[in-house]
Amino acid sequence: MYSHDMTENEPSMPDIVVLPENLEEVVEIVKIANEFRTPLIPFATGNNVGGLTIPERGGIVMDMKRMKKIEVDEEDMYMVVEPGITFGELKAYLDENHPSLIYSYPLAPPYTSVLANAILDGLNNLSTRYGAMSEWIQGLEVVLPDGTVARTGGNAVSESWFSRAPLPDLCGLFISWQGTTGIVTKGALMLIPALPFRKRFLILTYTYSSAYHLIMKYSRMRAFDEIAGFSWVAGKMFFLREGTIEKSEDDPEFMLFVEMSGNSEEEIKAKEKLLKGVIKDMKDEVEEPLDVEDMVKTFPEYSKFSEFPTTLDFLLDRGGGLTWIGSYGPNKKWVEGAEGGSKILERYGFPPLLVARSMKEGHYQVLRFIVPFKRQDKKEKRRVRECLKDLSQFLLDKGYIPYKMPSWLAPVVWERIDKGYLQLLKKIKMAIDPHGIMNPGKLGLG
Amino acid sequence: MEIISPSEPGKLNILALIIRELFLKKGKGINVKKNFSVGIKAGKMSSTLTFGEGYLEIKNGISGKINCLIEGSLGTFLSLTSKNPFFPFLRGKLKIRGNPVALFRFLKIINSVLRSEK
Repeated sequence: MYSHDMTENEPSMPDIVVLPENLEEVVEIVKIANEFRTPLIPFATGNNVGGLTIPERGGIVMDMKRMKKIEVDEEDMYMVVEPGITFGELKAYLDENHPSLIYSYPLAPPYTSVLANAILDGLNNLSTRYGAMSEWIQGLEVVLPDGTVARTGGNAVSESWFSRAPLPDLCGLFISWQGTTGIVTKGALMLIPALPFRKRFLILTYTYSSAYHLIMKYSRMRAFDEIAGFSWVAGKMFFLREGTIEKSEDDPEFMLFVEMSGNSEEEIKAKEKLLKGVIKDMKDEVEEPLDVEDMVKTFPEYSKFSEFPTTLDFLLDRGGGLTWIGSYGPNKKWVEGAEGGSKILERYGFPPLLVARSMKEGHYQVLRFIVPFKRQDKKEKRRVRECLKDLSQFLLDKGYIPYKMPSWLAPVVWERIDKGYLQLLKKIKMAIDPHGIMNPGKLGLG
Repeated sequence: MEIISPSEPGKLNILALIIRELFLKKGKGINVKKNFSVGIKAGKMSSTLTFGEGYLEIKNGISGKINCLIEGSLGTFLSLTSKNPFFPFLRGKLKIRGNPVALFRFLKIINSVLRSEK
């Protein structure tokens, strides 16, 4: 389980796997790895879709699953979690002990790590309002490659992890660095108040342009918690676990989910009115909103699209492999990106499975192209690699930047990156990890 | 009841797939004594359902001789499959053309499907 993941990335065996239980044990292991110049790979649950915990050069895999502490500060609305806490555990814990607070949950299985998702800049259901999950981080506890323990954010001074501001922000040294600068042993993450009423709608659109029109209109209304969707492929795969799928002439292109919450039924009704008002003049391009609760009554499994975290196991039913290029980018290129990326997938013989989300109230967008594939089929794996290469170049051309990028992709991105930025990146890496022991090979940083 | 379609299921539109899934999950015990066809136009998608003894054929689009055509929004059609199937008709939310007896047969089948266990 430590040598591979569900992606097409090549497996590689670790030399040792260690499972620390607390900070002190982490520090000891890091010091030993540093002394013997041994690669050290942090591993939370191994469910990233980018080969990020594959020990490319062997060494020590540090599996953090035994570090499972969680503390909640209701007054300041944050929690401090260790890396072993999964979304399933977090949700159960909050629902039972702190029902007035919620976190943001991903379109990912309940057994994925909360802290890994945050420090890898994942996107969750409330990212439509609050942005990528790194923006929920209020502070980190980190073990540096020499064994130094550092705390970033407000907790560096205060007893409370109330905010990342106002000190010089060092959290960023460990966000999206894929474990190449240190081992994150704790993270303070923002919680938000749970509102008692909630409703979710599904709107089918017949073109990406009409989907985009709705996404932008809804995003700027500041009334909705989630604005996200899938291409038609997900709708069909949900109903058909096997066999080829094809878009028929009258199929909608995109399934847009919009979720709202409120303090009263009246507030929900008012938001529903806003939602329906936008599509009043678009009847030729979109279907009227469907109440997801009704869909779930008929097909209980449809809750996979409405309750997060979620297991989209129907994607894995097609051969056990799953990979993607997920990217964040500018609004104005979303339609071109969605259409062009879909064509690339089709050209390589894969269904154009796209996941999209409006981020931070419409400041930017997500384009994530997913490729389920047959893991045991070497030819198909090669086709996947070629397809992902083309797709990533195309997305970069559109100004979209991949997140959780696999090792092979980092150099492709660096080719286009600001030279000063790359120098700074390398200087920081060298300053923090001079012997290059931390997750070597990742981010193309040696 | 066997669910069949002239093309591969993967080529059915979403509307047809939803109907197929509904009958696959809950329509096993349904018996049809007389053959009849219903066309459904739900929003921009359409499907033809042909009920016969022991089978239901589902096709994309409206084709062949249909006994009745049901037209409305996708939401209204889906409410047939999640709530009481007679309400949308009583409220005039669906347009009907053709033989009302075929419509009534269709609604009775949907009603039985909704009330049946898996």
